[in-house]
Amino acid sequence: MDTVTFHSKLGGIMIAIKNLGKAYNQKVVLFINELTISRGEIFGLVGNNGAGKTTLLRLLLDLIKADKGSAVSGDFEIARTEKWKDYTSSYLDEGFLIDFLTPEEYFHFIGEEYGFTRTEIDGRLSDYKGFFNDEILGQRKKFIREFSKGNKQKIGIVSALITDPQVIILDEPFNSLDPTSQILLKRILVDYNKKSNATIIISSHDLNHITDVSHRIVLIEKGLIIRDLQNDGGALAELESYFSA
Amino acid sequence: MEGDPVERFNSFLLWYLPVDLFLRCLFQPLPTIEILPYLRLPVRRSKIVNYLLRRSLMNLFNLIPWFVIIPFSVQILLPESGAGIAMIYILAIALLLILNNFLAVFIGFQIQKRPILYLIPFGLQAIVISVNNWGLPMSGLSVSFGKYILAGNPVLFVTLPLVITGIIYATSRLLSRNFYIDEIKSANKRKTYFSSVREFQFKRFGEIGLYLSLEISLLIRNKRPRQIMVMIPIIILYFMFIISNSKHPYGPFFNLIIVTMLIGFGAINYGQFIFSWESSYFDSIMARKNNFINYVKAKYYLLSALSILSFIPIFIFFLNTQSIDPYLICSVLIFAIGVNSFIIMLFSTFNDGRMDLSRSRFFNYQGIKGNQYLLTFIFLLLPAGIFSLFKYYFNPVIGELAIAIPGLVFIILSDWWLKRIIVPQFQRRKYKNLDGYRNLSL
Repeated sequence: MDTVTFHSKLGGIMIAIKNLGKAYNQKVVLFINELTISRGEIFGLVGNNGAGKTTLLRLLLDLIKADKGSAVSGDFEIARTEKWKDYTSSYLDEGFLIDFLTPEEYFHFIGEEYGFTRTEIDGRLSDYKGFFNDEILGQRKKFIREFSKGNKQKIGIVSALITDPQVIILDEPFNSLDPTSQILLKRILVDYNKKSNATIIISSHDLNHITDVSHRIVLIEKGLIIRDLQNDGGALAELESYFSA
Repeated sequence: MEGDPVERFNSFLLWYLPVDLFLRCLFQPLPTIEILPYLRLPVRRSKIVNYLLRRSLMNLFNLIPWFVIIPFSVQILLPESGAGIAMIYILAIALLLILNNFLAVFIGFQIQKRPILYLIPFGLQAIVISVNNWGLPMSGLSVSFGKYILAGNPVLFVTLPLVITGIIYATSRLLSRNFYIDEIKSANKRKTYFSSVREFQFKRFGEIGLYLSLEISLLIRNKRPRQIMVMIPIIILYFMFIISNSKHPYGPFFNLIIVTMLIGFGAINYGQFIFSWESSYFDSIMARKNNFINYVKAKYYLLSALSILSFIPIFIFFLNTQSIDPYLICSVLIFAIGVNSFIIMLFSTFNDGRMDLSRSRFFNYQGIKGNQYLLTFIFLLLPAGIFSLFKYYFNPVIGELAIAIPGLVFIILSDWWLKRIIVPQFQRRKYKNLDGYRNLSL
């Protein structure tokens, strides 16, 4: 795996977060004073369980309501309009899958929502044949709910990639994947980013993977940003030392 | 029937027991338990089964009759025939109730696997009603049965426990068999007999067709919606059967209520949960680019289709019986497609309970808010009320128009109220609903 070289992206700001806060039952689970993510950046999010990673991702997808502050994608304020959905795709967890469809039906359904024809989607799917390892496509009567956890994960991840998004949000995508698939996924993400200059936001528990892939890594603990590192070589060591303390 | 209070009381027995069984089959909660966690614990399978069976006894059907039986026994039987007879009577009733209880449990579990067995309780009811209407004196038989019980004949008190034991045994065998993981897994796999191609042909009709196919696939391919949908024709046929067999013609108002209920029944059962059906993956719908208006329109079309499909058999049926004006039925349909749909969809935006499509038990109350059912039920009575009002002051034709015209208006304006009322209302409640659908405890 080639090491990802750090370089500043001149694409401008894709995501801008200001004063974003969320609390449940009086307890603050997330507060970000200021955070900007550049266009074309692969942005890694790490933190222990309950740190607020998924909360942040949900806020970026307007799935939960912020108590204060704002998040802006491109020119659009995420909570106010739906225009950012045109170029954003995501996969957070199994709950995203429509489990009573077959994988092909699911991919075609999403494709049609975004205005792609079946053949276009099929074309894109062929890029991921290796990733699917012959287990997912071509099973005409198998519903998504009947697949293994790892395969469901693959279906979800690919469903986020086939619509040519400019912003991709993935929550712990490496979960449940076997080692080969993990490595393949890293390559897929890096290649996609290089090819399309898409902004990719991923959270992970795996420090190695995240440092292999990300341009920038942000560490969240108890809802606050503790570290904001450019991935220029020393990141892995710093992360490891933080988490072993 | 004169005189003897004992006889009068007993005359209801043979009527009550089948009705009791019927209602139990529909409403008695099946004792269920998440089996997987227990499989690796040192808990005896028989212990779990016995627990479940005991649990099945705790329901209202086993409690409420006593509020009637005990006073009867104490106040009438006791002074009249002595403590011994009273005890015997109570014992017999207890055995009969227990019998019904376990019969309902057994049938209930079988119905889960094969919904066609719903015919058993319904068939039983139908038989009782027919027997009653064809002149056999149920009450007379019942009195004799009551006398038989009171005579203290040991045959009864031996056969009943035996039958009960038999049913309990059969049920526990049934439950034990479901303890193996692969049994459970294969049960989940079984129902994939619909080819994936069929449902998705609506795609030809553009984006609305796309969402329509998704909705139909949802209803067909998932256990719980399938069960609920299957109930609809059964209930409709059942009511038509009752009506056609009843000796006294019901008044026109009553007929109208029944027609309205039957036409709206399907729509209500689907429309209540029109958004919650998809609760398990609603996050992804909202996170993606979607044409929410077309999405909602597709649901409205399905709602209307359900009303129309319910309408057809009812219309044909009442056309034959001539007990209600066919134009009236048509007006009710128009009202249902127009006004009812609007009301149902509006109320459904308040439904923020998660609905798990694979949990099968028919009366799983997950995702149902009680007052919603009540409100939609009240609004079902609306057309009947309006019609009667206008008929009273003017004449029946005006009454029909009074129902049809609002309905027509709502249908024509459907695009408008879908876009301007339902969608914004849903957006207003979006976060609350999403939280509920996600159903995570934080």
